[in-house]
Amino acid sequence: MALTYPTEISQARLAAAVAATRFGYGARPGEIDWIADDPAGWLIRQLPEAGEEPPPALQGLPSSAEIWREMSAARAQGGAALIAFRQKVEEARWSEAARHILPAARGDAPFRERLVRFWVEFFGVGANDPVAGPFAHAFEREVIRPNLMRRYYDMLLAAVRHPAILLTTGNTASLAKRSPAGRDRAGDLRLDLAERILGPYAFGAVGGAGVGPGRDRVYGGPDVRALAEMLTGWGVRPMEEGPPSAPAVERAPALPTAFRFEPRVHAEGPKYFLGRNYPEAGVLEAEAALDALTRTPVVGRRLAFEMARWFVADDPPERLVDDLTAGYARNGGALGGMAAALAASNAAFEPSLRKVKRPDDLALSVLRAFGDRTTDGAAIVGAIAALGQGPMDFEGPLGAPTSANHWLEPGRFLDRFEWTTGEAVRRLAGDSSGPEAGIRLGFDVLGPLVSEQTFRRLAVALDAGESAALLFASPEFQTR
Amino acid sequence: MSSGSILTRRAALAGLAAGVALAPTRLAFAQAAGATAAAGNKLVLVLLRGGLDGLALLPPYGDPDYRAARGALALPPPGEPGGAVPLDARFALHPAAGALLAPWRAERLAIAVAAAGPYVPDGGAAAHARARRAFAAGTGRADGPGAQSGWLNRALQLRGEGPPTLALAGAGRPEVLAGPAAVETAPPAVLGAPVTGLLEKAQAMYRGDALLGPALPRALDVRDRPAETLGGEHVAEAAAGARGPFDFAAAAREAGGRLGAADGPDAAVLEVAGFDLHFQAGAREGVQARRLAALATGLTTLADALGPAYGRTVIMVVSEFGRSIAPNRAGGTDHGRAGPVLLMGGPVIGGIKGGWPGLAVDKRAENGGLAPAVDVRGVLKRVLGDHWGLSAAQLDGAVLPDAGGVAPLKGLIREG
Repeated sequence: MALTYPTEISQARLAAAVAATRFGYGARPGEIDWIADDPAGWLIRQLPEAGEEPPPALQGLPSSAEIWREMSAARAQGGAALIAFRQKVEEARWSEAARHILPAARGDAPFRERLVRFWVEFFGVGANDPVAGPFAHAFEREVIRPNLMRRYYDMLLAAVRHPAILLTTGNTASLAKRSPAGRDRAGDLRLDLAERILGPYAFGAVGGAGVGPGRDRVYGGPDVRALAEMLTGWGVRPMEEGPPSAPAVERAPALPTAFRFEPRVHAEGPKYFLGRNYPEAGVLEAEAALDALTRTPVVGRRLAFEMARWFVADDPPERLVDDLTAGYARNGGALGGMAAALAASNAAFEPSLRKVKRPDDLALSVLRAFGDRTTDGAAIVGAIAALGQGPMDFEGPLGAPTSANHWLEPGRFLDRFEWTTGEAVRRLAGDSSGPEAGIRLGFDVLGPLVSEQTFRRLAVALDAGESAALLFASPEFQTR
Repeated sequence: MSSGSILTRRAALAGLAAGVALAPTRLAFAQAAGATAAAGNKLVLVLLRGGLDGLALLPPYGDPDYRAARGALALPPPGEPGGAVPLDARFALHPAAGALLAPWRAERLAIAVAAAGPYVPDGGAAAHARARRAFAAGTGRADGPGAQSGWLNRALQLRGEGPPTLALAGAGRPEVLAGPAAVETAPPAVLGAPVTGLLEKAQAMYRGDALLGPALPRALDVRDRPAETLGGEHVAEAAAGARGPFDFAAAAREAGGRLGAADGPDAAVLEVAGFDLHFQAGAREGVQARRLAALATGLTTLADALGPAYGRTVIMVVSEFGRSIAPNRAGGTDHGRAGPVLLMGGPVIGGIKGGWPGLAVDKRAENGGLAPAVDVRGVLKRVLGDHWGLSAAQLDGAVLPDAGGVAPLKGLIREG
């Protein structure tokens, strides 16, 4: 290849390069050329079919019911048992992360994996939450992956029924005064779960301020209380009810989900929530409320905004949010519809929109740039952690930061610069082709995204290693 | 596991040290038994340059003074949001280093929590270099016995012929390997030649870029701040070309693979720089946490790369000194005294080792660091004695001649 900068840009290859870097985890060598046939189709074909098996790397890991059983026992015993449980949880955080990273590192559906990551962090069951943390990876397997293409209602319901969220919000202790069990006692209505649903899982941190027509907030205190009352009785099965010493063979096929509805603490009477009456109907009340919530256009728009911000730009353009909102609404609130709208939106492909890669994006894209299909997930997780993003290292909804401000903080910037430089120099050690090596790699994995300014800088690099190091440091490679 | 032969060997070795004459056959047997047991046993030394903050890696959450003494650098206790991971009722692990839970739970990670080398801080210049030299020589005195070579080289000479020891360090031969025993310094191809001035070269690419353009000068400021504000030795440290934390995983993979191979070397020395965090170290999140993650995941990479040889390898992690207990005004810590020594590997007896001097102001070392409870050379003696089969006479006579009064630390190496 001659060291000249191309005078014409293929729009199809440009779209392919954007698809691979923005919606995937970066292109492997040669990938851009065949993605260019149909970039949107390449993305949509990655979306899972209904009932698809989870990736092999994720099979055979513990279920939330098993984790809850161990957690209950450890809490009951306290002391050394609790210390041992916390150690086991921490070891599992790293060992399970090493398996969860493999589909993104090795697989051919990076868009799907990025969607999984988005929803995992949106719900924010992270390791820094001492109550929900033990379930962090199980939550991804049980709530996010099976519902990736389904209605938001399905994913939200699975999330709200999950022990991680029921426990961390304290909903298991919620007791309505107007209930059979509350009759003789002061009630103890817990609002946390309702607040979490209405805020982070629906209208956003500002409570929908500014997005609802003619109102400051879409919901108010009475709505929170009404939803909290509907959610009384939503809890987790105490583990002593189970047969703790039953042989695993017999127990395995019928592993109970840990969810349990307890009618004795459930608030009696009708509830009035977001402008609608809900007659007394036990567990069905909150299910109906969640269903109504996920059909609210403002909620669809909020989800669209978060997805656009996560995938495309810290400050996403209105047009893109419109496209995603429409994708959500057209498909009856299906998340698959929203994902497909993202893949088909012209606004989503705008090359001038950028996000700074997080450490996971950066490490995976370097790996893919070399066509490396390593099975050593622990090494990838280790590199990502050393760059400031530990496995499931977040505490609540919206997960780990994605903003440019966060990841370009001087210390983090220096570190990622040093890391990519080391990778480049090691991988190209012994390559005697000079700066052409970095340029060729650049055109291979970034296609027309390589700017002329970067091209000129790479062309005068001292050797292959330096040219690749500069390529990885370039704005085109550092952003997506 | 039969303890009989080991006891015999210990007794024989002790007899040697005391100068007790033994029957020739008995002596020959003892030496042969020791040599056989120790043959093929591997040692990896990981040197953390700059002074590891042990209280960041291992928050002593059971110490009543911990929260107050550490201020903004303290982690929440286990069970609180973002809290540390408990190792026992007193000590915890920084979650960024959580990869170490695997060896800890397998009881293959020993931590001497308050160990110090022979260097005694005197407020003089070049503290880092002098502390490292003192550790390498095994004596704190410039004219002390052994000052002219490194203890590991001396131990290798006694161990006899074998493939050259592997050194994966910044520039040339680490001081601990100074001496006549053969050393192979890894070729640049293994780790890549350090690239200097690359940030400056990147500047031309960032011109006009709204995101990276402004980020670069800020990063350069932070990179150059230690040299500019602290001056002196920190200028030299910045220019020393030591392996940064991000090369550790690659070095670990190389060392593990080479030591694990048939006829591989018996020892390797790895250097990792980046622990001298005087500025904005951070607690749960920040540069300290990133260094701890690089350290912990690099160590597990090393263990994996060793393969079956992990079962007969002792990995020893040590830094030139610990850090001040209290944070400084810049949100970092300054040079201190004692710090942790980690031993990891198949032959290691896991657990917290040695005493804990406490964090109370009146218990601290003169420079505000943690007071020493363990002499690092006591750890070395135990490892070289029990794991490499060197006799007490060899240790006191040749390997660590200036540490005759230092007793080997107990409970580190499994018998058999």
